[in-house]
Amino acid sequence: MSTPTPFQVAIEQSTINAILAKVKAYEWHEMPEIDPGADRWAYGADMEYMKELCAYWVDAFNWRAAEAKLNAFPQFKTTIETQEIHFYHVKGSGNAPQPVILTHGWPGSVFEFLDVIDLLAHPENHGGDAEDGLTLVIPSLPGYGFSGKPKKPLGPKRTAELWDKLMRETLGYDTYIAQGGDWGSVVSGSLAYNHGINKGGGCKAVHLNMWGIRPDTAPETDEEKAWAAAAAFDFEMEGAYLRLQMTKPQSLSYAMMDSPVGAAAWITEKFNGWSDTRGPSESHIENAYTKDQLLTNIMIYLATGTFNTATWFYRGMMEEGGSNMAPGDTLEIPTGFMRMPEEGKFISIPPRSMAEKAFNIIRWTEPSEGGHFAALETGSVFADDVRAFAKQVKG
Amino acid sequence: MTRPVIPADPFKIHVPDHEIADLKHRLEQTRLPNEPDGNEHWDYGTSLSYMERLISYWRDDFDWRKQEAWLNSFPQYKVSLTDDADQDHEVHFVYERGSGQNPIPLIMTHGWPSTFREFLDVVDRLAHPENYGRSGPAFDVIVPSLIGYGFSSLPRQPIGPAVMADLWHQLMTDVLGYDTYCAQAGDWGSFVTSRLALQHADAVRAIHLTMLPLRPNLRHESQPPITEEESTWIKEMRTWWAGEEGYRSIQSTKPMALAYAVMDSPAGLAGWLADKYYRLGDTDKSHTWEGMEARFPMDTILTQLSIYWFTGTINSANTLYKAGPAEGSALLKPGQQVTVPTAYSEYPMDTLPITPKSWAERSYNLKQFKVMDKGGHFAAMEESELFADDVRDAFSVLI
Repeated sequence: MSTPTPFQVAIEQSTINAILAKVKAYEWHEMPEIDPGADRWAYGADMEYMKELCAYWVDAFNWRAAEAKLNAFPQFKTTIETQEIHFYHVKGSGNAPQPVILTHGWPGSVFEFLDVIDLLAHPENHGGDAEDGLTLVIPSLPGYGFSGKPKKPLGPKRTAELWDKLMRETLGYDTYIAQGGDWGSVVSGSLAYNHGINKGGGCKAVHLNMWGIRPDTAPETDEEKAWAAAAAFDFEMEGAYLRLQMTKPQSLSYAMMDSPVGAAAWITEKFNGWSDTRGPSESHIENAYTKDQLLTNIMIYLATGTFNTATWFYRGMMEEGGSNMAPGDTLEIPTGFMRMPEEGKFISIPPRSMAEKAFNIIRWTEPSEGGHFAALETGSVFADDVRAFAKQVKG
Repeated sequence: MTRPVIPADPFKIHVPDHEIADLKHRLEQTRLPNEPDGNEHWDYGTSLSYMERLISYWRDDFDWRKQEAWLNSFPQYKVSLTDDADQDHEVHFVYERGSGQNPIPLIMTHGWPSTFREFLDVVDRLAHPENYGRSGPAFDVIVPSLIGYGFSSLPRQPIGPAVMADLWHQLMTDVLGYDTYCAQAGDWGSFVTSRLALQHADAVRAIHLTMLPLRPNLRHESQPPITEEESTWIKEMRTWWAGEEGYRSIQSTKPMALAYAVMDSPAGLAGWLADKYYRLGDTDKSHTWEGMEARFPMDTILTQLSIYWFTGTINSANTLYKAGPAEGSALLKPGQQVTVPTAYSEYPMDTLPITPKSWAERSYNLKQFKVMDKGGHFAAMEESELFADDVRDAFSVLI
């Protein structure tokens, strides 16, 4: 166990220049003709939008400004059992701020949480009560962003073991709340399931905004069955990246590590597909994100050269034997679900009746807007829900 | 020998010097990924040590001009054809007339991730068997590039095998003047060829396949119940596919999520495709790269990759996986069967279970069923002598 070392993001200029040179030199090609009015993203990433994004990337995007934002909160690195972990550690206001570990997923990063840090840690700055302040720990998943690259794939169960050690042994928080979406929901679910205070671990409550850790309960009501059918259909149409990354991540990596525009398209397609892009007139990705937000997240993958190792997490999950609960098992730790309306359908949270069969649900919210990257898309909705959940846990 | 004039434009490949220089530049700039421990047998996908060898050979040793000259030693043409939806296509094809008075016209169709190059090692063997001490029939050999592949045109909107089959029929009849002809194929070519046999049964005399793409409609009364052998085979195939189908899954749903990277990075193109040659070829997998290079010499695989690269067709080629299923042409209608006499040869790919003969009989008028003792998915390249003899023998039986 090492003492955490303070860390700041400082990417070499030559790395940035090499990325931008390739973006600038990109030779656009054809894409299938899309009929007027039809979905321009039907085949994957829309080329018109990719051209626009890349023009902005070269002409206007300022990595140093993005880096300054990333460095606005205290960051550290520590090594837990050979795995180097990067994390934000922000102490909350008030007398006894509740520690919460927030975990991102793929293709996201710690950047997803930047806008909610101050809202959650220092509510008094935003018209709230300092006593509701939360102490935040926001790690980069192994193989992602500023964390170290593992030598071989590891998955959410193993990551949860590392997180429990990070919270209790490295940082000295005997108990904590876990929160996450995407892989973060699986890691957080695994903290609650395998490292709950009822099992000798430190996780005392969990707040999830994706259907990550899954019980083996069958759908029963019509509503549950409709949800399950939509999820299965959606998986056929939307689950290909997962099938690939779970089996042959290396065959994809040569292209994605060598082509910044290629990696940007692979990632942007997901941000478009899983987010609340609804707008007053028509759906558009920029109803959910600015180009600066999209590019900052993409640049974290590119500048650290972690596209490859990030995809390993899928294979790691498979090698761990999946992420489901054992048949018949339930999760006893108090659980909050935030069911976002525009979440990808195959990972969407089921009707409450179905979740209740296996979870000890103390909070269930269904916001009217937002999608998969909830903290990034709808920061205040996300922060209000997490804060309210922490208050409920406190009782 | 003077060739009769056909209504198509003679074609020679010529890649401009600056494109060759650009390829080398990109290879020099390649940023390689790391690799998980334990990837000696490509379990996580294309091996890094193989890729390092391939990139260095492509950059420093590969002589495109030499390969180009060899490709151009085969007579090639381009012709404009229009499909039923009024989309125009330019079809590139090799056309080698066979020896003797009555060579059999034979159209051979490649698949993915291959090109027309796949059949070039057998063109001469099939057209001029006497040069190889063989006495069987000679063939007029026609090897088109699939639409969206190699030197054929890119479709504005993707088209599937049923539409390509109609184009092939136009090529064989209207352009080349044959009333009847035979067809041979594997992979996507076997979809096109099966559709050709279904849609133009009067003109197609016989087909030889190395893959069976059509699915029988099991609900029809003509279909006997699934046998135990078939049921075991289906289960084994599903298990195998679960580990291998990631590429298919992406290409059939989101080809434009992948396109930007593989169109930009020659190393990325190689990494995406090499895995398929390793896995589907009859390669010795006991060593990370020796077996692969023995089966597919660098010059061979890099000619294939260079055709994709210089023609900029990996995106349109991948998109066939979306256009094919969208066409819905692989599932036979209840009671429907390919009536054209069919020979099937299975070239083993070590990890794949052998197809039951009864399965082949459900969809095809099967006259011959052979399991070869070596070969693999790219048999015409891998075992050209064995493959040419197999094809020649099959059509001797079929017609």
